[in-house]
Order: sequence, then C-alpha cells, then structure tokens
Amino acid sequence: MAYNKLTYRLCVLSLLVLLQACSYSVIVSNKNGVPQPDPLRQELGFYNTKKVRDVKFINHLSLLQESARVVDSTCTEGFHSIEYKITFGDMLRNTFTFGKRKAVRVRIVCIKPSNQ
Amino acid sequence: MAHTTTHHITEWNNYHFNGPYPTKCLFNIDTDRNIVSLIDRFNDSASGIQALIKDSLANNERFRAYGSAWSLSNVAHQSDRMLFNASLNIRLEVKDSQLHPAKSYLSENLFLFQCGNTIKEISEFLQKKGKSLKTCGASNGQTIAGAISTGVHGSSIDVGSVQDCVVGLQLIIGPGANDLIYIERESRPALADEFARRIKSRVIRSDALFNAALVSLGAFGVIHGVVLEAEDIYLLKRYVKKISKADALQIAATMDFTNARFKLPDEVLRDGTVNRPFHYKLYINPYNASEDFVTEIIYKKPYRTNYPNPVPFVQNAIFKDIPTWVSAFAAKHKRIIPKILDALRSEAFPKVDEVIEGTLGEIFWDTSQSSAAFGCGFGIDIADSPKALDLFIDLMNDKGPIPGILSMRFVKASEATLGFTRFPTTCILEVDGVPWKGNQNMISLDDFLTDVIKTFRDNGIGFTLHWGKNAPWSFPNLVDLMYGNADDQWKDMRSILLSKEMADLFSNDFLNTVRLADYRVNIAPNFVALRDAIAASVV
Repeated sequence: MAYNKLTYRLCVLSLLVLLQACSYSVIVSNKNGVPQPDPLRQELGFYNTKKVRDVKFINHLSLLQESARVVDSTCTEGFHSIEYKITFGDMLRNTFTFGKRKAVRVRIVCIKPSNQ
Repeated sequence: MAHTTTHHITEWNNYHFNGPYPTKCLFNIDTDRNIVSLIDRFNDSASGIQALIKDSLANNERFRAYGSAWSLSNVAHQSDRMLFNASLNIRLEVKDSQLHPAKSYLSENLFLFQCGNTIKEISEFLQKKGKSLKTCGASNGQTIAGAISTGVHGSSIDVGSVQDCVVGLQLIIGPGANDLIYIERESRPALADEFARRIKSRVIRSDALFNAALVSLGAFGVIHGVVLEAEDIYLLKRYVKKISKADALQIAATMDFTNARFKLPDEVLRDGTVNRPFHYKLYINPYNASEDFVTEIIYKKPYRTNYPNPVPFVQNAIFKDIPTWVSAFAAKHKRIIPKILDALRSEAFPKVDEVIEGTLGEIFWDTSQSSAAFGCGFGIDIADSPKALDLFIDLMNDKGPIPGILSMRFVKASEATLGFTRFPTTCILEVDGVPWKGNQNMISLDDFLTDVIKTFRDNGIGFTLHWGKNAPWSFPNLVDLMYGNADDQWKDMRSILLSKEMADLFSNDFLNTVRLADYRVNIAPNFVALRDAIAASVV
C-alpha cells in the first residue's frame, strides 16, 4: 500500500516537473535605459524594485486572421524589457484550436521617464 | 506641483533583502512634467520635498530620503517616514556664464543632477555629450545621492570614489524659504552665486562643511542636487588573468606597476615601461589559499566608436532561490561550504583570459541579483593589505567556513570627512556572499565580523568600514576607532548646518547605533565664525 502511494506521488511529481519544463519564457531586455522603478515591488530576481505590467489574455482569431499584435501605450520612452511566456496549456490550446486561440502572457517593464 | 503618492506600509526592505525593517509611511515623489522650464521643475521638486518635511515636523515624525535602497546596512532606513526619490531625475548642463569667477573647472565638464538619477542614467546622459563619469561602483543602479552619501567606490586607483567627483551640493535642510543651501569648497569654487539663486539656494563655501556633507549618511538633510565633474569619454580595456598570490600582493601593497614582477605584455611599451592601470581588483577563494588569484586589470584608452559590444547578447541566470537554499543547507553542514564555493566559482568570478573593451558604463553594466546578499567592506592602508588578507583568510577558516568570497579593490583617498577610503590609497578588503542564520554549528555574520574587527585592532591594522554594507555597527566606539577625531568635526559641521529639531528629524537608527546622531551645542572654537556666517547667509 505504502509502495503504491509512493509510486503515485513520484508520478505526480514527475508530471509536474515535466509540465514545468514544457513552459518557458524569454526576457528580451534593452541594453540602454533604466527600468521604471517601483519601491513597493520587492521580489528576488530580475523584477526586484521594477514597475511591472502584466498582460494576460486569450486572443481569438477568426478563420481569415493569421496573427495578432499587442499595442502598448504605457511606455512613453520605450521598453526596458519584455518577457514572453508560454505554458504547456497554451501550446495545447494553440494546437487543438489550429492556432485560433492564442494565450498572450507578456510582462512589460518600461524605461524610466526622463525629465527633458 | 511635484506629485507625491503616500503609501502606508508596515515594513520596508532594501534592494538586497537585509531587512525587513518596520516602517510607517513611504512617499513616492515625481516631478511635475507640465512645468516646461527644467530649473522651475527642479525648484518645484524641492518645494514638494519641503512640504513633506513640514508635515513630518508637524506630526513629530522623522524623515529620510532614499533612492535605490542599494545599501546593505540600514543606513537608508527610517522607521517613521521615507521618501523614495528615484523619479527625480532632472539633468542640467552648466553654461560658461554660470561658473564662479575663480573657477578651476570647465563648464563643459560640469552637470547638475537631481538626486534620483542613477549611475546608469548619468552615464548614458554623459555619453550623449561625449563625456563620462570619472569612476563608479562595480554596479550602476545606485542613485547619485545614495552613492555619494555612503561612499560608493570602484577600484579606480588614481581617481577616488564617486563622491570625489562632486563639486557642489544642494541640500534641503528644513521647510523654510531659507532652508535650501548650495555648498561647495571655498578652495575650489565651481558655480557663480547667480546659479545658486536660480535654484533658490543660499551659497555656503567652506571646505570643512563641504567635505563633511559629501559622505553625509543622509544626516545633513535631503541631498536634492549634485554638481558633478565629468571628463571626456574614454574606453576601458579589461583583462582578467590568473596571477600568483605573491605577485598579486606585491602590487596590492604598493600599487607600483612599474617595478612589479607581473606585467601584461600588451600593456608594456616599446621602451620597456608599462602603462598604469585605471583599475585593479583581486578575487580570492579563501578556502584554497594556494590557488592563483583571479585578477581584473583595466586600462584607460582613448574613445573610438568601432569596438565590439562588451555586454553579452545572452545572459543566463541561475534559479533565484538556489543561493538561499544552498546557504540554509550550508548553515547546517558548514564543512561543505568550500566545495559549494568551488562549484559556484564560474558565477562568482569573472572568466579568466577574457579581454573586453567598453565605456565605463558598459564595463560596469547592470548586475543581476538572484538571492538576498550580504557584503562587508573593510578599508585598510595598502601597506597593510597582505597582512590583513592573511588574517582575514585565517579567520574565515578558523571561525567559519562562511559562505562568502573575498575580493580586494584599491581606491585613492577621499577628501570626505567620513569617507571610508581615507588612507592615501585604500585597499577595500571585501567579503560578499549569501546571508545565513547563525546557529550552534556556525558563527553568525555579525559575530564573525566582530572577530575580524578585534583581530585587526589587536594586530595594529587601522581600518574603516563601508557605510553601505553589513558590519557589526554596534561595536563599542567603532567610529572613534576608525576615524579618530574626524567624526567630531563631522558632528560639528552637522550641528552648524542644522537646527537641533532638523538634526533629529534627519536622524535614524543607524546614526544612533554608530553614535553619529549627537547634536553639538558647543562646537569647536575654530568653527564659530563659520557657524555665524551660515546663520547670517540668505538667498
């Protein structure tokens, strides 16, 4: 009985690791410019003290539409970084809808506004 | 009017997660971009800060401004009210007509930066003007006001620290119309009185006051404007080599590159003389003393445009929790620490035999942070550096191991009264790593650093400590031990400049701990005339 429980847990754990490995993100960042700061955002890693805007939605395309463009109007002086993330579920959704339902998960950091 | 957002919070942390510290209120201030004139916008920001100071006074609350929260000590923290000023990033060029008649500076090299400009912003701004900062720290995220207040340094052996490039300061010392002051050295004035009037400031020219206010620890009021001297843009050529301990320390103890055993063939001239580096830094694994030192040597070169981009196109980052987990594990099984450090050496040390070239801002580009961090920097005379290093390594092995690596940087003396780079050439012996909780198996960081202080003291090694880094700041008479009488002059200057009420408003726990918050009613007789002159000055 205990053996079965352990096997079950290991299977679930393996599945979770597999699913985690199936999703990934890439950060494209600007060599120049300083990120817009946010004194209240304190987290380990790249986004520490940066002002972050998360864009998350499912985009529906019609039969005649091929691709979509997300137009951001918040960064008045350009992007400091953009992270695009794709999860395992997003890939499945895209596959089984023949590319007509695309999940968009983007994390945007703007360049800190200057005073010129 | 400058925009201020008020956040009622319960705790605050610094960038490197050395807190949290209990805090009541955080103000986030931004300039009013509807004001077209930059000088008017600059003055409006100062008025906004003064309004916050006035309100703090009325509510009997202390007040402290901060920028990037880069300091690892709690020097930037204030438990009552904190002002986040990173959005105040106005930059102004100085015109010839705005220079002081007795100036020794070129107007093209002088710029007024508002407090919230970061080192990176300043570097990018200056580059567009064909100029560069003279030096910076190893990273670029500090705001200019924070960097100079704590004595941020690189390893520029003949330049000094960031505060040594400052020629003028605008301070906000209270809520009144007469509480904006512009100070500079009497011996090296930079800007005309008319310029100070444009920023609505009283002018005070005093070497003693200026040098005290340079490294002010936030205690001389809010630093609102900083006049920096830049220089023509240049490139830095960075070599990373492995050098034997003996050869590396021969240079460390003397900064004599001409007669050093180690020479870089590319930097030896036809006549056999050698170029003098701009920067010299040693990386040391304390748990393998026989290993050669990874050494970073940087030379200044004329600027040209056709050099390869020194910033890697792809930068991989380790899992952000790994250092924290490793540290927690190491705290229970400390014997594995040397092995862990060995395994992480590629993350901690630069790549050997790599040569890159870039501007100051590119060579000391963005740093990544994947965990909480500790760092401690001891300033010592270079002549003592080999002995101090041996003592430090012995302690790390005897009392530790602790999860940190060592480095040595070298900086010319600062004129700042409490600049911790106070030796003719100061070696900064640093330990950096991931914090851990002390337990019965493993000494705490505070206890370890206390042992270092006692060992240096007992061995006659004069030292100072980086104000913005971790240290056992409550060590008895620490500041007297480090600075002799210099802290008395610093306190005198602060008491001359500020009223008792304002001195208290700008104090914090850090100042109380190191006993620099004392207000002096009776100042040294030689400063009485200066006090009277300051009291009599008007805008």
